[in-house]
Amino acid sequence: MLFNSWGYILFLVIAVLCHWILPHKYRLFILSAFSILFYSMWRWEFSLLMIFSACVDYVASGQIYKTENRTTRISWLLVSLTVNLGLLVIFKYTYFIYDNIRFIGSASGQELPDLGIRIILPLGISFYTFQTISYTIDVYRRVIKPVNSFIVFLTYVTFWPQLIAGPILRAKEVISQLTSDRKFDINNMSAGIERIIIGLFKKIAFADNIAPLVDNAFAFDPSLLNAFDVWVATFLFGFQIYFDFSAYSDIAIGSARILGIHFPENFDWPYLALSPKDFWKRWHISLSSWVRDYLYLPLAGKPFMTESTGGITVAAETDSKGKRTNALFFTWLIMGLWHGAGWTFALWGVYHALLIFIYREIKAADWLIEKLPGAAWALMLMLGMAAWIPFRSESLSQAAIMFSKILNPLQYTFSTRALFVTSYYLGVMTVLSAMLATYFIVKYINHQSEILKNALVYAKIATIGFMVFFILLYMRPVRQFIYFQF
Amino acid sequence: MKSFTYPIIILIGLLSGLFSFVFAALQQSDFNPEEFGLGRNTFTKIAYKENFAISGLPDTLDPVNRHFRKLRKTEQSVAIWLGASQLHAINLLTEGDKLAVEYANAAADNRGANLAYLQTSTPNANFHDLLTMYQLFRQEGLFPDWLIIAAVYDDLREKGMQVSLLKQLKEIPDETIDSGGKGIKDVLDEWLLVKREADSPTRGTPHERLEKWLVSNLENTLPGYKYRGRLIAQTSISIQTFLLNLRTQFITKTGFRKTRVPKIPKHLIAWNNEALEALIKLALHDRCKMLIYKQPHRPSEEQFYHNREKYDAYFDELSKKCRELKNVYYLDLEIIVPEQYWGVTNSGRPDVFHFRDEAHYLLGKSIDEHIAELSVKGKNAVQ
Repeated sequence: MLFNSWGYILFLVIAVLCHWILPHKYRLFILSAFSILFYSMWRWEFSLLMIFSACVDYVASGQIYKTENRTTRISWLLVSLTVNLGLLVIFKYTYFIYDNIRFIGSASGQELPDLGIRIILPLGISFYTFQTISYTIDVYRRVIKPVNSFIVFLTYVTFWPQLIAGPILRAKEVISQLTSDRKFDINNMSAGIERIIIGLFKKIAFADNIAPLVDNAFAFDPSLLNAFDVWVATFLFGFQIYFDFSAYSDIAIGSARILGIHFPENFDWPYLALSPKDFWKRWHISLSSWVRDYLYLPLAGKPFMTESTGGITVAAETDSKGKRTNALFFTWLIMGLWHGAGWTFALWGVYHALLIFIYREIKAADWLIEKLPGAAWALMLMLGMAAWIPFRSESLSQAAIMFSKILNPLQYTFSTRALFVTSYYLGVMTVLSAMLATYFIVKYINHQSEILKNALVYAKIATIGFMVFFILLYMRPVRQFIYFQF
Repeated sequence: MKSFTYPIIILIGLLSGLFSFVFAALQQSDFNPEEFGLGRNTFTKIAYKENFAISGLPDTLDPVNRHFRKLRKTEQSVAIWLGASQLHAINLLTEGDKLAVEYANAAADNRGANLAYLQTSTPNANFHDLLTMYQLFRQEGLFPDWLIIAAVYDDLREKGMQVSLLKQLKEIPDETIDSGGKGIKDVLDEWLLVKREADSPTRGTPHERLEKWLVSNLENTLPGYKYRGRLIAQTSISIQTFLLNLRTQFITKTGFRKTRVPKIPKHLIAWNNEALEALIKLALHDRCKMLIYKQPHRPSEEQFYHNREKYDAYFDELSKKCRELKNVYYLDLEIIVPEQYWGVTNSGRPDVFHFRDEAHYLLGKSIDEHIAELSVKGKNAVQ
């Protein structure tokens, strides 16, 4: 089910009413039933796949916890990983793997036929797979005890606010909240509604309106674009994906909050980052924290952490340089491929690893961040936005041409500008200015006295009113969230 | 903020947004964005002859097809006339006003010709859209004797293809791709994209059905909700008008640029020419004669809309190309409509695209005269 739809609003109202009206002992049933209904509104048959995945991890984690025998524990962990990653590979990477085999075959003169089957990617499989894997690994690592009730575990895995596109939450953060006897709190309800309104507004007003410009820009023959066009296209996509994904997180956080459950934040003004490391502490925080704890730190030989907050932590300089560099590049390669089954996504991951590596190796970067934060921000903004080129490109060759444009000084000319239209340039300037202005306003208001905050009540009413007006006007589930495809 | 004030703020915000929406939407009950886009006092007309549709827009093509089939059964010659909004829009529309296609049919009847004109048009149609329209007839097995194309210089800058037309396409056969070349291949690629969208995994799901049901209920129960499309159009027009006025004031005050000459990027001309090429190839393949005419333009030079030099160069090239081809004719109708028959845009400027009934008469008459002449003399006719 799409969040940006009337269907979801109706679903949420009914689910919330049932949740708060019925006694506490029924709540987990209510939540899991509504979660499966939420998923089945897309395709019911895939909810069976999700339940199967949950069953495997429930059994495996129970078996791991029950025994002290290392071989048995590892065996059950491998069962869980094989099933979860196997399903992910089958549904998400079959085409990619087969295409590469065909390419290699073709290069060696052997033509292979089309795969001949149509595979539908189950919604949210990348997210719930990571979530169930984290649970089993956490039990294996003895960070948590497995839950005794399957319904609790099923609710944790399928809980609809975070089911399709995260945040990817750890069991210890959510399960205790799910099982606690939560009391209805009107302020939680209000905060949740406000957050949902903000999320819908970001999605409908920004992401969906920027999307056609991006589609158009990336549909252009890249050889016709000049450097300014490429920058504009990539900035627009950077804004689109931020508004789209952070909007989803806002609605997820808001929906959970209405039910009295607190999710950690998933975004923290990522385009204000001063360095790549900083960016990954602000962008899709729950994913970068997951990658940190289950891939990067173990590969770098460092102790893992146990929260879905904080984002990436780069291993300290005292560690083995080769080991942490390998871990860095491998982790980001996986991160790239997690986003999409294509080499463009892998390139996106490796590009980010390279940025982190360069910033780590060049001492001048630290100096820049410390002495000239404005310049460091501008530089990181450009580098971070350029990373979206491969992410959004249809092919490696398109990405290569677009990169070549921005790296060629001769392409910085207005005379051959293909993307005309002033609206593209205005769009970038407006969104960037609005983002900065909002950041400073929010920061300013947060640090003011109670009196000023009260004086801003009318402004808040007007803002909410405006957003509701806009949502009523434009809400159509025309565009699904970008992260649904991951 | 005290604990009880926060929920009240959210509630008041919600209600103020809801009431503002209802109030604003209800103001739009009489607003018609489609007509607004044509200019001040300019309206769309669908033409009929003896209760049969002889003109159609993308969403009303079926009646034209049915008429075509009926004409074919009576072995009447058919000319398909494709173009942009000039063909279906009439400025200061009054009862009895006719479109050019009606006047052309009347002229053909008067001279006793066994020929019927059928028109299909859509606003801002580029050559890819015209090609799609032609293919829509072809896919039904409806092949005309004449294909008349309104060449609109301004629409060469229209990139993309109109989804409302693409949605009506069926699979384009390989033979058509082979005959039409790159232009029709581009249409096929675009159609595949539209089809992929239509076949996406979210289509036909329970959620989609629920959403349709909810929206239809909202339209019936929430006052003004059914006018939200009009409100969106009105909002968009207001913003664009505001920006345009701002720009005009800036230009006037700074003298930065005195006139606005729309740019037609070269790559878009080249891209659209591929579609025209495909149209010509398919028409010739179908043994259909083709008349390409330069769309009438407001005659006063000071109100000329484009870069005169580039405009003339484009049509010179087009005319030359047509002369080189058998059964493809070119006609220059730029100045056939006098100044007094043209409309006015919404911003009060002279309209260079749409005109009145009298102008439709001149256009329809000119087309039929030339078709008559070409039918007799072929390339020797005066063009």
